[in-house]
Amino acid sequence: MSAPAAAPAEAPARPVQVKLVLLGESAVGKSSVVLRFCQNDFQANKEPTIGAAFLTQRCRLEDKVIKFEIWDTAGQERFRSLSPMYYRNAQAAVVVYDVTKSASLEQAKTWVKELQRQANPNIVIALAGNKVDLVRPSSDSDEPSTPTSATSDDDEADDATATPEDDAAEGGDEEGAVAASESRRQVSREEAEEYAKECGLLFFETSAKTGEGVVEVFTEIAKKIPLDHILASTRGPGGAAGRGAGRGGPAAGGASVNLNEEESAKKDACAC
Amino acid sequence: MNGDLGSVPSSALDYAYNPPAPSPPPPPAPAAHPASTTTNSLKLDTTQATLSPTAAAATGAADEMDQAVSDRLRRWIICFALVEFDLDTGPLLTTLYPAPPSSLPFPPSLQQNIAFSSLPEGDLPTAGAHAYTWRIPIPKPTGEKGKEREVAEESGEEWRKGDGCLHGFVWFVQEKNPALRRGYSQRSLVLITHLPSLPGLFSSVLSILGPMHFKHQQSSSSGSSPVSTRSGVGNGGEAAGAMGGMVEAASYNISSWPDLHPGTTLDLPFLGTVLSVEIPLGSQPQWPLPPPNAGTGKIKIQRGGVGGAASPSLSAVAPVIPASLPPTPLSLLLSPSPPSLSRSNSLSTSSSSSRLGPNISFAKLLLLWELILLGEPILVVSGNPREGGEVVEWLRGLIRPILFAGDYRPYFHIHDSDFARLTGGSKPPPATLLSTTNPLILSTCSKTYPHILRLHVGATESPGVTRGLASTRKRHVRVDKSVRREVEEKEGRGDYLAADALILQHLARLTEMFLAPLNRYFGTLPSSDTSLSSPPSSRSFTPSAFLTSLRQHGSSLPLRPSAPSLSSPSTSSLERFYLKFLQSPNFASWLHERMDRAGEQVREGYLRRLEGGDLREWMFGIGGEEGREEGEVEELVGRLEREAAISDRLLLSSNSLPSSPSVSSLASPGVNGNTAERGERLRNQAARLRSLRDESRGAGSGRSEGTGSSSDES
Repeated sequence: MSAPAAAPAEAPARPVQVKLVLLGESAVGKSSVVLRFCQNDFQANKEPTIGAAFLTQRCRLEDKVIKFEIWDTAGQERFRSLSPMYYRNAQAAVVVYDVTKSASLEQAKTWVKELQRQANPNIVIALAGNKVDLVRPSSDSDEPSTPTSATSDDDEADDATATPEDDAAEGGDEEGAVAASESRRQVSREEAEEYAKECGLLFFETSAKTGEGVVEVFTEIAKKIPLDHILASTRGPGGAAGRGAGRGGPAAGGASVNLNEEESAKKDACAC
Repeated sequence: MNGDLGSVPSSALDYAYNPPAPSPPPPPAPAAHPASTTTNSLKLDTTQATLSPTAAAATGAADEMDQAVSDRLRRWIICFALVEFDLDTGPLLTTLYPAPPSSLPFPPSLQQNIAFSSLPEGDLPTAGAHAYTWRIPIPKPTGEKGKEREVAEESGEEWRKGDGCLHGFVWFVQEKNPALRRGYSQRSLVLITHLPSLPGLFSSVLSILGPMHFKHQQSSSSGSSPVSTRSGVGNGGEAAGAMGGMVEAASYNISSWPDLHPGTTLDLPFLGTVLSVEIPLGSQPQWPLPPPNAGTGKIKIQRGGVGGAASPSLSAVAPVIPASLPPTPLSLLLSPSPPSLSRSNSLSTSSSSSRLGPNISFAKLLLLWELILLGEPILVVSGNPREGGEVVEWLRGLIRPILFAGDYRPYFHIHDSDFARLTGGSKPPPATLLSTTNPLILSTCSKTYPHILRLHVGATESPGVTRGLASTRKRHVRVDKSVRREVEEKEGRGDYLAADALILQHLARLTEMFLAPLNRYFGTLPSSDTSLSSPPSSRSFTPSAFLTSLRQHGSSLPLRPSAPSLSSPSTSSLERFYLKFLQSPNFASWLHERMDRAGEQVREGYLRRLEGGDLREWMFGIGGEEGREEGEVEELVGRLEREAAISDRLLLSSNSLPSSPSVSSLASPGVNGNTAERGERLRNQAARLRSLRDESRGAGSGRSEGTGSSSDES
């Protein structure tokens, strides 16, 4: 408490703290992507997130150490209005959809719009189409390939995360034949990629289950973020931008902490 | 893609693979959902549209939370509460989330006290939000408490580690609502914790959660009144119980926090921000840290995004939150005319801008330190529950590392169950520290409370009444002029954090100087004997012997010269000062803590002797010609076995309870490292002693040395 605080701050390995938020419809695999990235693990039966989970991961990019502070938000509709507090002051966002659910891409687009309108103007946004393992051909199949009900009748945004049907669907390896796998795909790579390009987003197709593409998401984000700028604008180990606002930010408005759209810069960068 | 990144081929980013700190809450067993029908488990399957907001009845049963999650939550807080003003019944506690543990029921009297404590009285502006705190003793269980074994309590629930009180952090909102009869709705969200020493942390938490909660609740219930939210059966997935998703999300965040480790700085993720919180070590004093790289570093102002109000502010300058300090600087609260109090982050927006402070000078602050130290009852009168409560919180912390032992109430009201006890009678209990906004309490107490600190003067009061400290007591300690000059200079520049740091460091020095003679005397007390047979006993602190020691060695506490006392001419003012302290509850708390520490050391030494002592020597004497009574031997065998069992249990509880160190108890030296094998060693000793006993029985008079194997230990 009385120790000089300045000295250790200049150590070369001082990590750059990057606040990153995951957004997307329920059950698209946000938590699984984070789990893969942070613990290199996968759980088929991931429980739904309440509010938002918080994880950190340190990575090295060239000579810099990056500490991702990851807010993995709940996709459920009832937590929808909580999301601004997670993306405020975030330097990066990963918007996740499910390649087997076209509705989830539409939901992702509304997230992108909201971010571009209300989040930090310099925020780096990555669009990630998850669950590509479900649409990849798989070698060993012992199961007839029927498109499961989960893919077809789950179009409206439901409130569920890993429902039993979805879990069955996530066991994509067993789905088998190429044709059947491809038929599960509801969002083509081209369509999503084009949208991402239009809106200036990074784009990836990922599988939290196999790990495909997951690290790349975070790598490309790390490359695109102005790390030096963040480093310069934060003070000391405890001073990441997102954190500095920890006390000042939400408390600042007193009774009416401002999550209002009206107050934020209206700025529709994306026409989609 | 891997191109210019690190050298690991498979993954482009070079993982440091630290276990993520803090780890996410342990996932409930997959089997527990989604089809679970037990009431105990959280209804995670939200496809069922029956998330039953109605469960939140006045009985306090909100949606149940997964046991593992609520256990982790309880390391930090007990629950959240919703209180609203019901036009027919008055303040009403409507919801507790999660339901309190069965060992800590909230009887109706406690619920009522919480309800009344959470809707402030007094002359508050008609609309807006107010944050403040209260403290209410946990009612004693009426039944027979039973004999407590030494360790039984150790493994008890988290809330037992508190100070026997509930600490409420209130976010009170008063809004115009023409739909209601009185035209206003009055509601509070309350964070209830058992931890007494973290007001800085919990104030920060609530200042984030409070506004979000009410905003979210409003939007998710489509602007309807709270009552309809409660009974909105059809809301389905819209809100999880009357609490709304915000409190639920907050609870899950808190349950994912790391354990409370005294003496460390913890990063606590909370609703989208990471709070860096410095947890004090035991009752050690804290003061605000100077902002790192002060002068060069610019405060980052977020632009364009949400929360446009983010601006350089008192709290933004100090990103690390000292957990034990109230959010508003002491020097700001006590200054003559707080310049920007109404606009500061730390105070609610409601403070009128024309507010004047109590104008407590540095010298008066020293007097306040003395009054607190000596256990004098003080009444704080405030126009605003927050300011008064924060002053109370500051005052009781001024004598750290001495733990203030009196009853303190940051927000005291006439409906409190202790109202008569604390305000009635001719003399208040010693070391009582009340803050009130109610003129009735002021008039009740103005004759009986010897010291009244007025932060506020009501409009209807007589013109002669002024703000400040009303006390007949004269200050004993001398003012250090250079410190005073520095403090005043910082205050003059509006640098209240720096002023606070100076003040608190100075008072910590004074407290240490004050304690030095007591510590010196304590060190001379004889420790108990070193025999294996007798466990350590407590020491006796005799005031007269202490005074002799004090006379002999003196004290470095800088006192003002004073006239000799006429009533007791033989004692000096220094001695009277110490005698007064010895009669105060604070002395008892200091002595208790000191004894605990010494006792731990003594006990540790005793256990070492037990586990490593030469039993053969104890049994037969150095020359091997002595003997022990059979009963004596049995007793020692029994003690060894008991101590072994206790060691096992200590080990178990320190492993299974992730948060064994609590703020109130410093990590005891016995509960780590070598404790692991202590139980084993003690059991071995017991076995050895038994075989020695058998040996002595069997051998009769001829004690042979020939049993060999067991005798080669020294």
